[in-house]
Amino acid sequence: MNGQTGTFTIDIHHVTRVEGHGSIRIDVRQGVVEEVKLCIVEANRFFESFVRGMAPEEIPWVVGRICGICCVGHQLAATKAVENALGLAVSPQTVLLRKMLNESQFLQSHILHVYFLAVPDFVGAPSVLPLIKTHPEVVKRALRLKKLANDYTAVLGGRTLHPMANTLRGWRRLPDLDELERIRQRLAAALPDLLETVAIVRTLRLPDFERETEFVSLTHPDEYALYDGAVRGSDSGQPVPVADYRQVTNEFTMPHSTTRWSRWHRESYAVGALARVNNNVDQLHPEARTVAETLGLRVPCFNPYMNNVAQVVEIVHCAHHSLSLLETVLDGGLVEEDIGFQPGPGRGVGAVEVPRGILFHEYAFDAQGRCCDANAVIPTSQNINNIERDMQALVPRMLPHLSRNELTLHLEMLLRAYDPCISCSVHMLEVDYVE
Amino acid sequence: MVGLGSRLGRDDAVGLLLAEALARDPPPGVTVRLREAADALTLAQDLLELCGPVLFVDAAALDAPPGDWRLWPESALALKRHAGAVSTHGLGLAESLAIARDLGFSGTVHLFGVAPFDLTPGSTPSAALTRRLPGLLEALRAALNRLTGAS
Repeated sequence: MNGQTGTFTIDIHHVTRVEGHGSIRIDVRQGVVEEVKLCIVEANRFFESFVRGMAPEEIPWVVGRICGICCVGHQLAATKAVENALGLAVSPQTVLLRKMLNESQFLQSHILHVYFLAVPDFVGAPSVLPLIKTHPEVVKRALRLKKLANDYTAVLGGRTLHPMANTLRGWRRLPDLDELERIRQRLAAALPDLLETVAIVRTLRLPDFERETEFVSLTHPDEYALYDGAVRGSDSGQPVPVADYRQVTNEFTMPHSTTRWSRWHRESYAVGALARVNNNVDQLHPEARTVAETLGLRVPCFNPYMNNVAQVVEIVHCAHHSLSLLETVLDGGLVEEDIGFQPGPGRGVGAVEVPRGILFHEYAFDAQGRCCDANAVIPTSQNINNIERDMQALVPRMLPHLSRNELTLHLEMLLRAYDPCISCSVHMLEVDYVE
Repeated sequence: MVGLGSRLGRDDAVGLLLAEALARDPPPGVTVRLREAADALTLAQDLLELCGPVLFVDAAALDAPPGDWRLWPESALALKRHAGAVSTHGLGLAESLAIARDLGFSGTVHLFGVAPFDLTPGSTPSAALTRRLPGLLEALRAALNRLTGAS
């Protein structure tokens, strides 16, 4: 039965295969959609509160614990913010290692999402587990790639989860060059696996749905911006310095959500792989641009389900770019650097692209060098407003044609396409009450 | 031998501590790996790469006093399944084994489980467990010798 007639409610509690807890509620009266809400029900995390009083070097390691998937990104954004606050310069070697560390996280996260969270939807499986029996070679490939990415992070950062090697101004313990060489060899040997990944994704039939929105990402004149740059919105020509991120995020609250929402030039904006590819496609590695063409990703692309495809494009980009960075490091070697610094007062902002989109951290320090203020704006919280508006546009279009079960699946797929990290997105908004 | 656990749950680190101690002087023919806070998918890939008999070492809920240990073959294990897990975060050792088995892993698996004294949040093991570590390491070496036929 299609859902176009009657009065009913679809309530999807705890959407599966996303990180954290979110619910979708749809109210239909006499065949007319009255309300579509994406409800975020996670409790607040309070990270910005409990870093207050901490020393500068402690902050990146603590806030890395915001997330088990984007731990590298939180650590890097915080490191950059603290360095900016204290006026600390970093060497080209450190920037190189941080870019590699960030790309290792992109590989980990995108492979996990594409293979284990998104693909099951497109082959009618409830999870990856049934695919082990029907598509064992696909699952083996996914596990191989995921393990390689994990090991890449571990070699650079000391361990896969919450790496500890990166710190203010540099590296506490430099990566072993022999281990980096083995990673380079494994990454080069994995390129055929990436081509197989592209071949699989090419067979997937994505829902035909578009809604124009603004795409926001870092942009950089010299490279596909993942580690550094200014903030670009597709609705405006002039990038905004990272320090002015509040002009971009314009956070506000909604009664049905414990996460803050964002908007910039229009009612909502999107961040993430699709936003980055849309904004910076010309700077992708040539192999990644070819993959984008192969998979039908032509910019501007307003189909949010294509975020999965954009992730595959970025997997290919990060693999090839990492090979290049690894060769640079292996050719030039690594030298121990002075990572000492003098704590003091200051305020700074740092931003990096993480798999789910642009991530901002801001910290202030008092005269004793202790943290006195903190703020973090996470990609998923920037996307929630856009996801709900996608759903509000999708439901009336799909309602006449789909059963309720099919509509439920499409909405879950839509939410998953953004690869949300809901528990990361939950933090407090400071509200001034005026009496 | 694969040491499992987390260093942020006090005695949950026992598998890692024993693996580190064993790695300093590993028994002949035994490869030691540490998997700190490892996800189920990574562990499944580990098993596929190992292709041989595996002994996991971890803190475990035992019907025994804290500090005691037990050695089980896989067939006797009652690992908690997470069939209702809404994300890959919820998958555990049982799912790692199931995935690896379905993908062709055929090695024998044993678990050397240690009953913890304290699993509250904290980065140091309990004093009681720390005192037991030498004895546990001795028991672990004996178990490995039995499993590898070295004794």
